[in-house]
Amino acid sequence: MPSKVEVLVIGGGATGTGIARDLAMRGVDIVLVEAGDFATGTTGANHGMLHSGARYALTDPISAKECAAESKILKHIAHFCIEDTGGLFVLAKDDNEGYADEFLNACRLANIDTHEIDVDKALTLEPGLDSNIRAVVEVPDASIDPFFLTLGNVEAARFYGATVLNHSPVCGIRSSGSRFEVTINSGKKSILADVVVNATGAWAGRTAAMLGIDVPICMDKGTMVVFNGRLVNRLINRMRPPSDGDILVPHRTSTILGTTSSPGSLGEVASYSEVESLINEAAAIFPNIRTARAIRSYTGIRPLLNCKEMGRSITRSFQVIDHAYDGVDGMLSIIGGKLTTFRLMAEKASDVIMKKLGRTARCSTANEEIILSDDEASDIFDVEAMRYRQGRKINNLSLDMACGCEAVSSGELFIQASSPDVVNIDDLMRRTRAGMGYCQAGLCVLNMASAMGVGVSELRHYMSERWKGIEPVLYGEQLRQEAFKAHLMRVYGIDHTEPPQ
Amino acid sequence: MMSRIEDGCIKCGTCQNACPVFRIENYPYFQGPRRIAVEAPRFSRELTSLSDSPHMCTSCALCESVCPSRLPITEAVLKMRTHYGIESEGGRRMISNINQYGRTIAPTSKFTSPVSGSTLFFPGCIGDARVPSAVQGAVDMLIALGDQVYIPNEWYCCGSPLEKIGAKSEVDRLQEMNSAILGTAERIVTACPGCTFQLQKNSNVDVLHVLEHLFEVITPSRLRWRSTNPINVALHSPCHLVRSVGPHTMDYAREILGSIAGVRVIDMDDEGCCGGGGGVTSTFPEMALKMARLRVESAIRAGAHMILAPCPFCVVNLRRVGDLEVKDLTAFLTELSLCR
Ligand SMILES: Cc1cc2nc3c(=O)[nH]c(=O)nc-3n(C[C@H](O)[C@H](O)[C@H](O)COP(=O)(O)OP(=O)(O)OC[C@H]3O[C@@H](n4cnc5c(N)ncnc54)[C@H](O)[C@@H]3O)c2cc1C
Repeated sequence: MPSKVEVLVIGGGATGTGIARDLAMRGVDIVLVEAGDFATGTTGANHGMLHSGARYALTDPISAKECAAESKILKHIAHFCIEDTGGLFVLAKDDNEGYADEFLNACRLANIDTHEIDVDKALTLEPGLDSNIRAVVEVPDASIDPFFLTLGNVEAARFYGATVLNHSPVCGIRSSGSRFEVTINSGKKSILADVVVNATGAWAGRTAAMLGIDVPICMDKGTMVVFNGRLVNRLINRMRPPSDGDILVPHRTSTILGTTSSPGSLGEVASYSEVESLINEAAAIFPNIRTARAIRSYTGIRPLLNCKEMGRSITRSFQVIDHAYDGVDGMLSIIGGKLTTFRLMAEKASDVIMKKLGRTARCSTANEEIILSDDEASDIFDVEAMRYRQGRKINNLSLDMACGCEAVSSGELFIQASSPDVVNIDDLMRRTRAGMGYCQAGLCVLNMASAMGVGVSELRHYMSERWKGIEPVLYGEQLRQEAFKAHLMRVYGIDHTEPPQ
Repeated sequence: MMSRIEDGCIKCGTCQNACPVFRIENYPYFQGPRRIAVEAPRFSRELTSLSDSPHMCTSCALCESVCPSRLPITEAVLKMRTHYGIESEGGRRMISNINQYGRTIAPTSKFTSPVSGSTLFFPGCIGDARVPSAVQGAVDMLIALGDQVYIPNEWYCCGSPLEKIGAKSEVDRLQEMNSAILGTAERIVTACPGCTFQLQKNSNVDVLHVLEHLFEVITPSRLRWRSTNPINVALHSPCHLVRSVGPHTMDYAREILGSIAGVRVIDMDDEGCCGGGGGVTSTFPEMALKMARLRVESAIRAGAHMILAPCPFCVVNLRRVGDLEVKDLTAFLTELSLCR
């Protein structure tokens, strides 16, 4: 790591890595540091929607317009991690009919390509929909994988010369002259930067506090439930003012139902009652959700700046805060926004940074694919699965099955495990999806541990972390799965239902 | 939409370990029952690269018989085949024969048999075209045993092989064509496990495999056979007979053979699918042959002079190996009954 840079970005979510890519493409000398692994904050815990903007058309027209424009751009530059499924807005039997016209109008104003389709046609496209729905509108929503998007940003930023480090928490920032001295990893390293960018999302208040700056953040918790398999072919939104349990997103080998919205704090897990209420809400448009197999739950934190208006009423557009106004010139915080608008946020933030650096290069992130994706299909399932995950395939890999649920080969595991970025089993999971399927790592955890060369204690830690997301959905088939897993794990002296030590 | 099949799996791997195709073909070329039936349908765009695997299944149903969650794996594999449509040369030939003759193979045989009676003997396409001696023999034997057996003038494929290649509309059409012909019988008997099971599914009269008919209707006390030359036979268990019609059928076969003086049924050290089912003899003939060879080698090791199989598909596929005589069980019994 260099000891002096132009810009230091703190936070390796979509926002931070987006800024790193943007600035690196403009030729800026930059380092990004992330406390944990990339996309382990809100980015890795969101709903995975590439918003067409329709959801915000009525309540938040600014966000809606931003999403409409940005989703089009991302479908081009990030198509390796996007499945362009399209989406439907569905009016439930007992919801307000008048909303449909208002909704269509607002979409038109926000420049979102929408049209109404027959209920009968919708029922053939999506056989699981409730047959009593009364109106359906087609929208250009899509499904996006936030992990691979973020990893793509990291790769692109590095390609353009950035230094990007995970497992490097910032623990102190000091201004020294016109520069900042940032200490990393409990003081083991330090670095001098002309500009510091705080892209730490829900942690932004803590980060700013290191320089004595007050950024009051309120935390709004959102819970999601992951179901096995593709229950729907496209995103299904409930047509009503944004509320809980409105959306089903087909995501890779699963379907994600979300979200809730309530005051929360970092590190909270989902509650049984949140899971139950999500399912009850969704059943109004998708009755079969009650019998579908839930495989896990997770929660994400929305950092909200304006604490008085909690929850969904606040704008989801973003803010770039120049702390020159707090008397600290050279420090910026970027807060809010959406995954869908990360590129725009990065562009706006980078424009301000360029001005501070006195440099002029313009943003070019909208014109170039984040990673060059490989569009040549393979006739081997596991290789094809790899291509859709990684954006590229590698031939001549060892194709022994390592994770059956997600079709991950041992070759893919070993390649990812050999990256210096990968220091634990979680890191490997995020880069391969091994462990994310319906058995929730019941079998592949052993293959992951051997690819990493780690022992039982690492394995136990990983399983306990997974368990936090499984416990709230412990019913039906997943209960059988976990009972079977308990027997398997006992062989290794592991109780996978124990809290992490 | 997901169903019990995709959602009920707990990943024990028993089906993958049991699958006989996995003994011949390696992963990832063959993806195995769990991948085809349970894991793959959860994917979307990747599915274009799975197409060979579902067609390599012999539909032996061993996977589902060992599944602790009792998932209908074979049905799910067939659903995947329907998803991909008919891709193989053999499959297309079958469809074209169905369109022309109502049979999967052009009719060849003329049987000497009454054309009316109470027990309808259903020859089946493979019996008719590939093992006619088994059909004629069965009819002769049943007449000799005093049964009012007949073969109708006209009959069509039962639909079983078409279901296996995913041709759902043809299956429905054939069922319709056969309904008037089969509806008038008091009982239907066939020497083909595939026909037995398929006709059972949509018939309101009793449909019996000939072994069941011999044992349950004619009763063993009236079956007195003797072999002039002492002979060691290996008895092959057809998957569709054992798992679709029922395991009792092989007990009947053993009991019948065991009562015949001069015939010794010897045990093989390795039993299993011969590779003759699920349409793989036409789509993956090399693989089907390798599977048959395993069966024949096991019979030779056990010191058998002959393999007997109560299924025309098994007979045809096992014969392709050529190292040991293979006979339809009914045809074997018929020849014995002549020397009664
Ligand atoms: C429930 C929910 C659902 C959502 N669904 C969607 C959706 O479907 N579509 C959409 O477009 N948007 C969605 N969003 C919004 C979207 O997820 C966020 O806007 C986006 O992920 C924010 O990314 P970020 O990089 O700003 O924050 P984060 O991803 O939280 O990144 C901040 C990073 O900073 C790191 N960090 C913290 N402190 C330090 C430190 N001291 N040193 C170094 N690193 C540090 C953290 O580890 C973290 O990785 C959703 C949000 C929530 C809460």
